[in-house]
Amino acid sequence: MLVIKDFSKTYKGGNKAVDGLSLHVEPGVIYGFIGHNGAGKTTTIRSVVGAQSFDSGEILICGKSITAEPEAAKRLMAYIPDSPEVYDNLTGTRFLDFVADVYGVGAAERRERITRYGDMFEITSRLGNVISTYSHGMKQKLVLISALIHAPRLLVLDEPFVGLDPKAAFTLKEIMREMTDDGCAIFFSTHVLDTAEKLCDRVAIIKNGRLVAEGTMDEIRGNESLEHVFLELIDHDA
Amino acid sequence: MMLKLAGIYWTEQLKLGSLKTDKKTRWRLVGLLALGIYVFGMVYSFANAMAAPLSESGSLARLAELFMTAGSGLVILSTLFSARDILFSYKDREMLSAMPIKRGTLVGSRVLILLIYESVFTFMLMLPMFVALGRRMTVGPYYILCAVVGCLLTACAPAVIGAVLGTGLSALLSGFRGAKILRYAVLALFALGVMAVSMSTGFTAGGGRLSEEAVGKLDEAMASVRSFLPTVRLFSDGLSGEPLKLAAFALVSVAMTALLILFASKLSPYIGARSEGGGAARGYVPEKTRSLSSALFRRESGLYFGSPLYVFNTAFGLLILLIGAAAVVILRRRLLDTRIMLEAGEMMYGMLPFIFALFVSMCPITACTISMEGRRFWLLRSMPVPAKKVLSTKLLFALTVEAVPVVAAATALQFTLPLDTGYRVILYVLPLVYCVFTSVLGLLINLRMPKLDWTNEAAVVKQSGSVTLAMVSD
Repeated sequence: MLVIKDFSKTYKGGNKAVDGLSLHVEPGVIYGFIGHNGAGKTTTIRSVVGAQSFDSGEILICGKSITAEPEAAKRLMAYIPDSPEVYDNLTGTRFLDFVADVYGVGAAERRERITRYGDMFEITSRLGNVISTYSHGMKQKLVLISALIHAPRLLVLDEPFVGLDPKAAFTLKEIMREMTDDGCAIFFSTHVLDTAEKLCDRVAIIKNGRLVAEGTMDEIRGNESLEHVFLELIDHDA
Repeated sequence: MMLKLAGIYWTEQLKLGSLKTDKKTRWRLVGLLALGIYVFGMVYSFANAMAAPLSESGSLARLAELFMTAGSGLVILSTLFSARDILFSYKDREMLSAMPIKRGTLVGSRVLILLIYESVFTFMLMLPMFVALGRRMTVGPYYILCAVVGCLLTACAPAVIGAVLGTGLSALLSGFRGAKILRYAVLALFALGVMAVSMSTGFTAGGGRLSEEAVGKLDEAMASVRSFLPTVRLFSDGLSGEPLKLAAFALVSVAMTALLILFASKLSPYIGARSEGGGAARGYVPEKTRSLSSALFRRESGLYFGSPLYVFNTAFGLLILLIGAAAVVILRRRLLDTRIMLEAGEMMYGMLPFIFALFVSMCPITACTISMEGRRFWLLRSMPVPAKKVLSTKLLFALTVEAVPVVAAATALQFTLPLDTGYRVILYVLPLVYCVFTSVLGLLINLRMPKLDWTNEAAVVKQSGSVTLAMVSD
């Protein structure tokens, strides 16, 4: 579903954010991407979704290269950034309709999905309001609905649980599980190791732009907790 | 603390923190300096040309009054649309409000930021005017004092008036459905009033002596401005050798600013609550599906008309063009009968497409269209939409906004002025070609100089390098 091969990204000034990263996310898998601040998680995620260019390597979404066939690749996935920056002057409805139009979602499907996810996140009654009146959490929910509106095969999320209330976080986890049951894949970064431990099928731990561990949850943690393993890996060679 | 807060804002906006390490920042500042020199030269030439007939008519002191009136009008119009956003709706407001800073200090820093924005306009008008005036007047310490006071404080009183009217109106209308349209309409009406007063002071400085009748008319028009903006009169009298009036001008300007800070800090939580409150809940009402092109165009329209600051700063020239065309239609008979129209004849008509072009060049819609995406740029970049499509939609939208008033004005003139058939075509074609040129140029400049990490729209619409460069290039 998602293949990252020898991915490297260096920012202006020579700051190498990611160095030779390779990953493979299979269909039906929730894949956690863990690392300390500045480890290269957001850089990787932004490159995966085509929001920024990269120096070398290859990123494939369902076999389609994000650099060679960006539109085809993007059509198959959805992205939720760590900060829900959206168009403050539009109403929630207009924003969702814009996203649905871009992805070519039909009237009946979009209505069904907007009301379904809107009800699940308890935001339907506010969709006619201007986004500037939304709280941070409501914007986060709106971005989540916009990501789900075209039924993506791959969902890429950057710190998705930040700003969500406990009920919304639970709903999101349910949706993630539902999607993977249908053969989709989820690739998400998080600092909440507890959530990752309970939710993820596989995890990758990144440190200073390099992959330091990758495998199923059992392979990574063994008899320890994920938090213990993560801290050991991060402190090692520090 | 107030100065420190304003200082942090400008350090962030001008990227002064990376001045030593970033070559681009240094070049940007050099560019701004070069631009300042260019504008100084332009305004100086204009002031000099105006000073000649006024000097011969013995009313040289009117020059400062005229420039101050024009500058004040510009500041009122500008603050009408931008004050609320700059004073109350900035993105780091929450963070700063949570710090142990007095509300008055915080609001004061925002007023200071607003005044610095507006003073850039007036400073660029007043300084070259004082230099031009100095060539014909005795320059002593008192004249220099007048010049310093005039350059620094001209923006204060009109900025306060514009801020009070603009913010008050926004707060009053915020509870209504369609408040934005109402706000546009009322502000546009007020803008028309200010322009009418400003235009009534206009006169032709075509060289030679002004007739007594013209000077009389000028005095009459000035009197109406003085009644609206008494600071203009105070300064003018001060410049004519009345130090007490100059002191009163400075005092009134500072006092009005202090009053604005006082009232704004009292009203700050209320206005903040009104603009962030959201009103009654409105549910989901499905809309019809659209093609990609139509959806992108509609998005552009929503983003553009959703920002009064963006609209005002980019549609001002088009508004004047429409008003001018309407005035020509309404005053057709009187205009055609006047000597000016008969004498100016073909030369004046020949200038029309260029006058249209001048107004179009005041509308740098595309010069900040990419910057306006700001931190939301991730959305477009992660969507399955080719960059070419996004850019062409931005171009198409800007052309639509610009072409409609241009065609309307050209059509109005077709029925009013006695023009040749060939010239009638040129009146449409030339300005429209210019619309395409300015839009493409603006887009190219913004692509090269995007500013995505902003906290206030004013930083992009009024202050960004791409907008300034586009306007100068046009």
